[in-house]
Amino acid sequence: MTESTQTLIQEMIDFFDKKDNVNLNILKHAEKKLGTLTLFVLTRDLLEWNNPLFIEANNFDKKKMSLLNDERKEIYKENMLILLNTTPALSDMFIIRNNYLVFSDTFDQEEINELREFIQNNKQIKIQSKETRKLRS
Amino acid sequence: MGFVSPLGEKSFFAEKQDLEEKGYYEGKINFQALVDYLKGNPKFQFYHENFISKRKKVVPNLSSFSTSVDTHIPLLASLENGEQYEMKMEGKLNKRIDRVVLRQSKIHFNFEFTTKKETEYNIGIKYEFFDENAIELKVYTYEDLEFLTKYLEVKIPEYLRNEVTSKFNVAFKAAKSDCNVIDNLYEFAPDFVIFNRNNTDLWNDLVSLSKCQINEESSFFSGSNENIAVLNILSNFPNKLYLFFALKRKPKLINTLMSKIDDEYEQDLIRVLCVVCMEVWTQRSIANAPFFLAEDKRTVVQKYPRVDSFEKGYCVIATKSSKEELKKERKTNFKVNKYNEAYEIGIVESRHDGFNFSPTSHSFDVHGYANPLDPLRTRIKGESFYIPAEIAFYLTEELVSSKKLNLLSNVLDAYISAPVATVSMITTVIRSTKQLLKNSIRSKIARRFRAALSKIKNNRRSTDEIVKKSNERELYNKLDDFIRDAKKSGIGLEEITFYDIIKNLRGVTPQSTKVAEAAEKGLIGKRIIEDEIFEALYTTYTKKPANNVSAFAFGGITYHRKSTPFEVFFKEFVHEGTHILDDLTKIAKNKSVLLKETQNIIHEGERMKKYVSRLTSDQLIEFRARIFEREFEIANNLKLDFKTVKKLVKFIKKNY
Repeated sequence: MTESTQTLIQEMIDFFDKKDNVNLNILKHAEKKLGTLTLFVLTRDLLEWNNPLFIEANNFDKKKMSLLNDERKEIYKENMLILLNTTPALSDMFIIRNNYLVFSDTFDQEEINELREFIQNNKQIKIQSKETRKLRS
Repeated sequence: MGFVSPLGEKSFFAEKQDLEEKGYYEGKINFQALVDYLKGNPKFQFYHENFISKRKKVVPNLSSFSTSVDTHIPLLASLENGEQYEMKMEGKLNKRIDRVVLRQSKIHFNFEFTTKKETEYNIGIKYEFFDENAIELKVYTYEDLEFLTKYLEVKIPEYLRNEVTSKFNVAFKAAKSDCNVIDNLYEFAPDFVIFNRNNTDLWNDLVSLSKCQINEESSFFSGSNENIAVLNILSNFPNKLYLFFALKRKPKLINTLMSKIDDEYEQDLIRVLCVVCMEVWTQRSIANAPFFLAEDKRTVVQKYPRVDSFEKGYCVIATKSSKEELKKERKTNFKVNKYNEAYEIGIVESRHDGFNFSPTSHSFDVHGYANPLDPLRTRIKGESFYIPAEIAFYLTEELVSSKKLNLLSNVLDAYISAPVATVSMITTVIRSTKQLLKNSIRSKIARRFRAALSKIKNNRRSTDEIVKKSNERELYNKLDDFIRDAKKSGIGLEEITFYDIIKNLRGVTPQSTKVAEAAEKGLIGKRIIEDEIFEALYTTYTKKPANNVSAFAFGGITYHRKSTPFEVFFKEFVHEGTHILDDLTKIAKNKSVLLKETQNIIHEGERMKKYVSRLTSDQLIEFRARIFEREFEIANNLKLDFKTVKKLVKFIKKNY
């Protein structure tokens, strides 16, 4: 994984964890175009789809992320396109094919693995839970 | 019986005769006699000669003489209302004389596509003691197969339904939404095939069809009927809520379909669209629906010269009042109908993005705005009906002609539960069907038309049920309805869509509405996962056991156990959604704001200040989620997690 990719992913993680308390550099054009909340949603989903634990838990397709389903509407796909267009470092990694986000041909499997390992190691997961179930006997 | 040679072997002649005896009769068949015999005689000795058709048909030829040809005697199938039609069938009969038993295990079904992607259903009835078909029948639509099997009192086996589904799925996949291929597929697909398709695929295919021609015979060779294809998709769409919101996002599609579909199918299209909307409209939206004055434009212009132009995106509405009142207010733009009700005339403007006209040329009042899928009320024969505004806009788009009004009148007539109106409409359709059947060149179209007819009847029935249901529905029991329907249809929690969530949360409590709106915008995601995975994920990140954890949220996504009961899921979504909203709005990060916001919550008429003043930040965050969840429990009459707020606070202090 190149240094620029790592910097981008770290910025995405920081933005996602701290929202607007972070000075955006690579993502600033995207934030300007999309707004903080939309960027938050797209970043959240990209980080989740590339976190090995969540891929397993959710049985995600490792090769493609759906941009159109009951949760994601046409606007979602359009926003993802804006994110890629305004963030060249991200468009080096991903492309949109039909209704899916896929890795670009220039981003090989080794880099995908490194990217996912980096996200797993660096993304904080702060869980808020509802604990009311009765303990199992 | 053949001739046997002295050597004990069959002679050439004997073999030939055996072959003939064992071969099939492939000429014209008396299907009526055959099917009636099968129905009346579950065990019998089969003589194929008994079912050879003796009917001749005189056909003109190029010379001045006519010739007569053998024809099948068709099976007369009955529609639910007792009307009959001639079923298109083919078949062949085994010449072997032996015993046949009409038993499920002796009947084999299979399904094939023709090269033109039309459907063929084959039924083979075997001899009792030979693994050989005595009778082979072929019908061309699933509706006909259903009629035939019901008539014979046998079941359509599950393997056939699976085969049909699987072959259609392969064909749909290969078609890649190409409107020139999917039109035929949707025209012939049985309801269950369409119903089991993915919402997104169906929507994309509908959009694709709308971009092509929609008519009965788009090309001489394909002869496909896109009208039925479109109606089949709409009437079998599995998630009407999905369809409603998809149409709401793209209302122009309704207009496109209305203008492209053939005239004789327009009323079906309106009816199906009404059915979709009826499933989603709330009691409140129906109660507030503006009145659509379905009146010929020329009449309105004659009576009220100031109402001089109707533009796209407007429809004429009327506000009910009394004649005396309107006169007192010196209103001139009003009319009195035959029920002696006075209406003030005005327009409703569409909020449709593409219809941003300013009513400069109008001197009549703009009474309001309607989104394309909002209900408008109209009245036919003294009964109120509700139609989506987009239909009203469409009907006033060009010229509210008598033809269009008749169309609307026909459609709405079918809504009326009074049998007279219903029967008269069906009779009209059947009359046209019969006329088509008589025309041999167009018999294929007739078959499809008939298939559509059965769907029309189903739609009408469901409309009546939905109207009734909608009238009975109270705002706060809609979750009950959903849970009951979901349990009845056997769907799992993982099949709950965002539309289900939004529908069951919006308008119930202020907080659940906020959560629903955030979910609609994509700010809140949801995942339903296996319990074991749920626990593993939770434990990995918290290093704590997950036995007593029923749901969790992080990073804008709520996670739920697959085993969660429906009634618990929705309130947990409100709970976890509250955590996400508090995180997004940063309430959770600022203790003073968090405290103030929480103190100001009014629950069961009581301000929460006295309960929360001494809570820590984490406890306040949890209190908010639980109090809003409790509010939702009360509104939906669900079982309370805590009987009193005091007990809730005690639990939080102990556990957070």
